[in-house]
Amino acid sequence: MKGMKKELITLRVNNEDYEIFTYPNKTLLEVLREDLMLTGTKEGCSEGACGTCTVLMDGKPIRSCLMLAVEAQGKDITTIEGLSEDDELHPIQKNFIEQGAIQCGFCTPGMILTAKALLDENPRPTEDDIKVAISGNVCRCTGYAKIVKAIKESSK
Amino acid sequence: MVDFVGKDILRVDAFDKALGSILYGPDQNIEGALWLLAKRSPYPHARILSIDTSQAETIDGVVRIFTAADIPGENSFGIIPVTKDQTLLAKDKVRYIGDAVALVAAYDLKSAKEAVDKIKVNYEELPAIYDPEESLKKGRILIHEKGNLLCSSRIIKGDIEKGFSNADIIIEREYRTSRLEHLSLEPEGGIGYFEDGRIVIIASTQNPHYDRDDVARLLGLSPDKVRVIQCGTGGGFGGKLDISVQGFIGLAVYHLKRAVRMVYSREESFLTTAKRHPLIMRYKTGAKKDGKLTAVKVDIIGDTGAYASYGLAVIMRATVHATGPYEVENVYVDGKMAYTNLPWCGAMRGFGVPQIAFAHESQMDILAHELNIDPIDIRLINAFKKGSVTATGQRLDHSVGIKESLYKIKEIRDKYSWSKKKGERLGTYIGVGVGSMWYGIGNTGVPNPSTAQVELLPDGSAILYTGAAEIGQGSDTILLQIASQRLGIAIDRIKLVRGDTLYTTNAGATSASRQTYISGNAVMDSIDHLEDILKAEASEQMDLPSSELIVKDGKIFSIKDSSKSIDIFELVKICNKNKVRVIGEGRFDPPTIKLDPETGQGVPYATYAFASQVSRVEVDTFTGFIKVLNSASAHDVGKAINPKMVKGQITSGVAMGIGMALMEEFVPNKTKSLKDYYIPTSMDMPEIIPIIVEDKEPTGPFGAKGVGEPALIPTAPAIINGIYDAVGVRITHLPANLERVIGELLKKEGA
Amino acid sequence: MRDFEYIAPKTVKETLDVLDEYQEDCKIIAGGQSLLNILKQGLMAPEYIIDIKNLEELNYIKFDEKDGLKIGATTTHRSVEFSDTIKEHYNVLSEMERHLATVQIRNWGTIGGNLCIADPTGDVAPPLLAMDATVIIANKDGEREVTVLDFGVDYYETVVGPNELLTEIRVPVIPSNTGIAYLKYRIVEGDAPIVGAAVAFTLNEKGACKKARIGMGGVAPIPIRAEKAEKMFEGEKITDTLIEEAAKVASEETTPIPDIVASAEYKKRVIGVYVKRAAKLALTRAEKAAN
Repeated sequence: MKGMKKELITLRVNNEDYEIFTYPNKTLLEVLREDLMLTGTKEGCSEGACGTCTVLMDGKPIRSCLMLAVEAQGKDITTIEGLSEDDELHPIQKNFIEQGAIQCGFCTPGMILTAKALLDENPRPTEDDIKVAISGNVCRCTGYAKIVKAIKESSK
Repeated sequence: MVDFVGKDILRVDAFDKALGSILYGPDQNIEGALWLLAKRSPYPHARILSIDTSQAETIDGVVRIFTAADIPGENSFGIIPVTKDQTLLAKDKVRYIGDAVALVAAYDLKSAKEAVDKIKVNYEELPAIYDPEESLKKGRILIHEKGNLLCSSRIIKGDIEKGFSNADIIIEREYRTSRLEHLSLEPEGGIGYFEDGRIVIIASTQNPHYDRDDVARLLGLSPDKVRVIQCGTGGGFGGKLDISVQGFIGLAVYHLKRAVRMVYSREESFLTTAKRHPLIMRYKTGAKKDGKLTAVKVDIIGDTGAYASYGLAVIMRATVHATGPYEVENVYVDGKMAYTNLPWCGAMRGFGVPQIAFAHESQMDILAHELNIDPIDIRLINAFKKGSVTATGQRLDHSVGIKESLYKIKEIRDKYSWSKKKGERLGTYIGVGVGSMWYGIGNTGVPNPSTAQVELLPDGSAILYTGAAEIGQGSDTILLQIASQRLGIAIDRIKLVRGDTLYTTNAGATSASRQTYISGNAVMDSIDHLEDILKAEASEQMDLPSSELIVKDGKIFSIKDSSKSIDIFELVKICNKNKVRVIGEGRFDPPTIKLDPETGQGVPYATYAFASQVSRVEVDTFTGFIKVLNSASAHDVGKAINPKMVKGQITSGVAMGIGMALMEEFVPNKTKSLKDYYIPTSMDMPEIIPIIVEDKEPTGPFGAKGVGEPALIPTAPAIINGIYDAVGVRITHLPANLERVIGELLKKEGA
Repeated sequence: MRDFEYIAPKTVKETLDVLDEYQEDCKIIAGGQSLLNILKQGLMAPEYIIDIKNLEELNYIKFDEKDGLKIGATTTHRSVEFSDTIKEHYNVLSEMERHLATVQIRNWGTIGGNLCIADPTGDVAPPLLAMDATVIIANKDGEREVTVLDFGVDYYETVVGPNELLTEIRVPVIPSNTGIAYLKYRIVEGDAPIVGAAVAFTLNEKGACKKARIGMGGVAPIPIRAEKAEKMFEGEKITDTLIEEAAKVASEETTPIPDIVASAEYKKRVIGVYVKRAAKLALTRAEKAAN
């Protein structure tokens, strides 16, 4: 096989279309962070075990570190940057701030996006529903209690 | 009238974090920055015979490869001044798998990886030591020239033999804990560049000033030639105190004078950053029939791994806290810290006290059961109170909230009737366990000052300058609350300049739960100084002696005639016009007395946090699975500057404690990534009741002490004691993972 | 990840042609939730990655009363989890999916991919074993049907050849008076199970056991059935004692590999516990179905 060739891919991120010239073995996470400079999505472990790389694809949370960028073509991707409109915080973001659900903040973007997907699907989740929904997002700082509360508040 | 202290103010950094716009170490980027990647040793102990970088240098995209010869200053660093024994790039030998031997700078990470693979290092393998007791035996190969004993620490009080002969009961047990990983979600990372004749490093860190000093030392530069800026830091827990990427970045910028970037992979973070020290603790506790302790003898062997890091501090802390928060007349504690060829250990939330608390609380629990005394009562019988004298001979004169914390958890336990019983599912049993702790705030018996400045601006606002690193624990918010309350200026009118060695002075590390108490006091001191300056300036303006003036309610008054006053900010305007900055400087160093090297007597800390926790656990005797159902944790924090944030810390401590007690274990050579290391998820959390106890610390800012590490400490003890209550099995080796629990259950069945 | 060329065929036929051309030099990616880690760790370095995720031809869930259930290989875990058809007729699969890995992984990962990656602790195989499921494997020249029991060869290795593609999972109609349960044991939610047990009981008119199936994961290089233990139930009234004894036998049929998580003895002990628990739940469900 000759040297790997770059490919032109089109990604729709936060309602904007981007054309990126990149290698097929780049993950969606790498392209978001390095090519699109959307550093709100994080790389905590690169093996899909921590959840900090969570983005929404067609409204569903996925691990962007476990997806090739080329696979994400034709899909609607939402990152944390796409959640607030013109400096107006999304209600989930407001509640995270108000409930004290943020400490170091590294898990926050992934956590908020997962919460959004949950509430879009199930507007009145129980506390157990919430705990299950965020069980794929690790937090080392808060102990989760305030995060669950913030999401519950957002469901009202 | 401002009223911020004691209020649940929203965190000042929450907005940016919720937006995802705050830039952490790995997010830093500069167009054209070169990628740095280290080549690391695959052997635990080996001599370096030669390093051949010639093939690697031919790789397209490689700019430069560095080895130890390229380090212009002292190729040794370490967080504790007297034990700087770690090389940035190994010179003669490597001491653990992961020890860095070369550094590659390349245009992209891919080329850097290829180059690292092509660097040829000729090693001569040496026998490796994996056990700290082995390491201390005579005739073993030396890991460091000065010997395999890093240091030792001793506390001697009273007459230990007499203490035991007076005892009605003596309990002897051995306890062991494992290496643990901080697992801050943010891996280490940062960038560096050359500007204004300085090497500038922007990285996540818990102590930017220490980073600057040790990087300058590595490069043979004076500290003012290095500037370190703390960027957003996604958790630290003690793992971001030692330098990680900073040294490499500094070295590359020194030689290349261009922008460079370095981010640790999770695997690299696991392998090459600090771990929690595993301790072997042999306890002998003597007590009277009525539960009163008469003697405590402890032998501690710690494994500090390949390099010293915080080893000295950890063993000192462990020995100082070994008795637990209890009055004991006769104490003998001997602690030793040994080198091994395993991943090196350093600070991790608690510095040795979580391990020690697990041991002393297990001992108290055993005593309670043997003597048929309620576990909370036996602690009340022995707990410190005002006037108690510790094992180091320190009299605790104030802020000793241990008993209050015990009353609080007793209240909860009895209110909800938590007690031992059968679980709902066949084979499960529920038990209730208690754990108490004490924790000295600040570094042990050594100076660890903090400094700060507060400046007033003519528009009525202020600037707080502090070097105190915010790592998620909330110091930015807390220090602003303190400044705001003391100044009488609304919190959103105070700008924070933080963690930049060019604009802020050293506040000491964000460790030892010290920032609220020590930096908080520095802030208060700087405002005291500010007031002196205001009075001096006003004295000139008003032509009155400054001794006659007071600062109050936004004005400077004459106490003799209140109609004579000047508005503070009017005064600031005048001063600024005359090119005088109105800026107060503050400093605080907790009053301590160095511990005697033979007997450990002295005053190690100016104040202590105290706490107790009661936990309800469910044990599945078929699988060994343990679920924590409820936890109530009461912490004496002196004064809660921000109660919501204090409760957040307590909750977080329970979470980390569950990990420490039940599932976390870093097994060298086996634990490679997050898939091999279990930390609690949302599903593992119990119902938590965080309780704040306020036994005001007179020397603390508004009475405050600290809670960051205390939050964790009583958790594992309470869980382990709960397991014993449930199924009569005592786990003496943490974590109480499935195999250990089943193993003990089977042993009990067989007996 | 090493370099590779990326190919996204538009039809199954095209896929089979490509596989036939590249054979060992290529690897199929569907959801990639397991494969991407393998590639990142450098454990595999194929020259070509064949992306079949967008093959709508393979994304379906069909059921009829005669042939039973047919799931296309690229159906996501989440689709299986939420499918009303599956909840109604094969609820154990929906239950299994609900606890598989994490939400994020289920949204993109596929049920076919899970079987093909052949992680011995995989959740998908045990319930399929308990239901006598089969899979369809296609290549350029045709297709063949293989039982899930015969599907695994070794850790991370199946009978799918280098030029072949798993296209469908088939589960026969569940006989009436049947109860099925899958329970698994893991340390933290979202993590790979340590062991898992799926038990299916079909009762006869007298309420005794007509057929028993026990599928187990994490206790051998491939997912296995506890065939000796299954035979103990046939024709017998299922009692707690019988379940207890059969669970012991099932545990003895295993050959677990010790790893960082647990020793072989521990896994043997725990699979016994879980076979017992799954059996009790399956019995309750079978009895309910019979009434």
